[in-house]
Amino acid sequence: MKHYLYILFLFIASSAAAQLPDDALRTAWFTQNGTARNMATGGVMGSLGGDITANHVNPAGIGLYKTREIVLSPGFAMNRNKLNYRGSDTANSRSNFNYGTTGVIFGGSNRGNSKWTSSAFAISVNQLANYNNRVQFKGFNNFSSFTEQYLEELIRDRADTNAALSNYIFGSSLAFRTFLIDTIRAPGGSVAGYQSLVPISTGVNQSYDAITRGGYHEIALGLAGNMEDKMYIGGSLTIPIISYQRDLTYSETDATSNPNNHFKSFQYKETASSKGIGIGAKLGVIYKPQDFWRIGVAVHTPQWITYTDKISSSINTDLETYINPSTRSETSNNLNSNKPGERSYHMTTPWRAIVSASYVFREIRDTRLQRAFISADLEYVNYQSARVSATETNSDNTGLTNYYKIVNQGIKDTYKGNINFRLGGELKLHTIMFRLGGAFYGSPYEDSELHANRILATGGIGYRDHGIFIDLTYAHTFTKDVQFAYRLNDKPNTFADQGGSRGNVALTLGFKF
Amino acid sequence: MRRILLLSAISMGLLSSCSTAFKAGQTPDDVYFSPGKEVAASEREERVQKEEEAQYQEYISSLDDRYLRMKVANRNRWSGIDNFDYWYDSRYDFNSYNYNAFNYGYNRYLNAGWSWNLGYGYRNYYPGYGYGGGWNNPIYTVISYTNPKYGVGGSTSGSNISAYRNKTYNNNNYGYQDTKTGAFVPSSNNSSFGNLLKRVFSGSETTQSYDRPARTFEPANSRSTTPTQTTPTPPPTSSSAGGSSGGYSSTGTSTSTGRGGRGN
Repeated sequence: MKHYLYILFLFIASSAAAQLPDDALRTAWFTQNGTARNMATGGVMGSLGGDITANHVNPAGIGLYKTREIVLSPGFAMNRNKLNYRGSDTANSRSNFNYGTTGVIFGGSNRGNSKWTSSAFAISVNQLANYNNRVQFKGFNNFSSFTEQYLEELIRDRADTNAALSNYIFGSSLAFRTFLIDTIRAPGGSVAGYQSLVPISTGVNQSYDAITRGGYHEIALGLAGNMEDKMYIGGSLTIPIISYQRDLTYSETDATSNPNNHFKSFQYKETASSKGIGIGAKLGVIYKPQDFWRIGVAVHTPQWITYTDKISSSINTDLETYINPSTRSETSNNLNSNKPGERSYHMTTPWRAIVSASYVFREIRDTRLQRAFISADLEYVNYQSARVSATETNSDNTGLTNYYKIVNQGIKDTYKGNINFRLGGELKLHTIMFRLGGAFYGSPYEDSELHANRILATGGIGYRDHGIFIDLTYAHTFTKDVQFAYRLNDKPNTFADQGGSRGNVALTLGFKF
Repeated sequence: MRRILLLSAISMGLLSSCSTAFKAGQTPDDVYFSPGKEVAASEREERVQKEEEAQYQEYISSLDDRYLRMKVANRNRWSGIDNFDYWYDSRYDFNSYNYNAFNYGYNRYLNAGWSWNLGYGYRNYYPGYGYGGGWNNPIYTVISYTNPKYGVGGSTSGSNISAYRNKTYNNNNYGYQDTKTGAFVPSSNNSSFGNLLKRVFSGSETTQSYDRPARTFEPANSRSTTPTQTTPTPPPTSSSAGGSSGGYSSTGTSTSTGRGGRGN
């Protein structure tokens, strides 16, 4: 018995709410965010420069500065989601404050006999991704159940009842302890397998509701040089800071009124948080082959991030006459000294590369003669290059490192590299500016059956005079994605088609000094 | 969020009072043209002008010296050069605004032995020419990252991850929806997945039955991709299953030893 307890305590862990390839996508698939001016022009910044957003896209762009300015970019986002799950529609909305690129740039002409005409330094913060959202869908299902993932897990791990009781405290063990899943006994009384109490053939009403918060923030310290107003070379040291929380409530309810089928409902609740900080770099070049034209190239190295995650979960069941009393509940905290589960790991985000061209009419001092620009970015992101690994303190844990190997293989199997395209322009009437833009973000999913993309339509106005500038933008993002409540190995998977949009109002105030 | 808004408002108020440099004239738009500070610009122009003037003076002095030396050595031989055309030939107009033109003209019309200035190339610019190091290269950091070290063994199959490789989908239910009641009328059964179901009977009436999802162990010596329903001999199972499958480690110890009985 002591031996069993030792093993139980040594290996107590969970996989139901385990690290998933989805976690890697959170820091990879997002639309360009920046100042209001940048957002109004579709997010183009690969070759344009002259905007502090360049510090997060192509740092060579800050090399165009010979002046100094400080920029503040508050914003407000409105999410409207429409999901269809197995023929049933669900809609919801969620709004929140956010921000675009905010920071300060110090640019100035160089003195002395230097080949650098000017140089600029910038420090800025940008919210690359905003996680505030609510994904909710409901539907009838007589094909598969959330609980089947627990069955697969226990069977494939060849878990005995001791393991089922205690080694999966964030999922399968909760289901087993509340009798949501139970053993199948062989004629001799031994455990032949596991069964779910969900009466799948008569169907259940499934409900998924995830409220997410937080964001992917990035601090960038950029330096760029200007060679004879022809070539600009820049680099930024980036510090990604991630904060993510998810409150998930998932339930299945008997679709019949039969009081004797041993199932009325169950509810799974999970509170998970993920906090990370890391380091990375962005490098870029902008070249002016002739008047008015700019060509830009930028490379973003993977961001090397160390995460600390916490999770608490619980299951409540109502199994009618199968158990007495009919309801049971269990929490992971109860099985873990009243503490949430905690894990630390490293993640490297995908690298990305941008090529871009701009036409700026005209590049002259007199602002009354500056008329317009148009710019386009082409960005490649290799989503499947994200990787997770154990922290140094866990590197000798072969079970853990082996698990990360499985996760990395899952990332490679699930995602692919794809192209994002951004296009935008501005019409300038001395102190007043009008802007339009658009963007297309391709699917990160390897499987063509999973339709996903993001399309942006953007517009805005700006005013610049008396040493200040004010820009106001509305960016509308049409979202197409898929959402899985659970995934199974030996049955076709089911998912919700996500539509809807995100409206983003952004304001930028800037001061020249 | 209120604090952020308040901080933003205060910052804007303070900064707007500081923005005096460009209040009077035009406000630069760095996307189109960044003028730099006027003082700095004039300093730079002055510096460039001085450098060009110094080079010109040096060159003229050099020519004068050479000419005088030649004249002293042989006055008659070099007398022909002392004419109006030489000194006023536009090819020798070194006051050209474009200094590159100076180099071009010089090298074109004077023989190589004279071209002390060959390759000086001041302000020339060749993209990709390969300017050397030693000057302000932008700071950059190349992040190196390694793949995680893979251990052997491990006590989980990672079924929740391997499920991502299952790329078959079914978003339809069995049966049909009753248009009057809205209720779903199931068809016979999930016959194609019969081995993943367990038939149970409801109440005392054995005619009422339904299916539950179920999975059974495969024989230990014949594991395949799909479990079989019949298991002649229950295979070995493990109490250490689950290992580090979620990447989560407990911070305490399990306080519960069992789930208790069903109570009936």
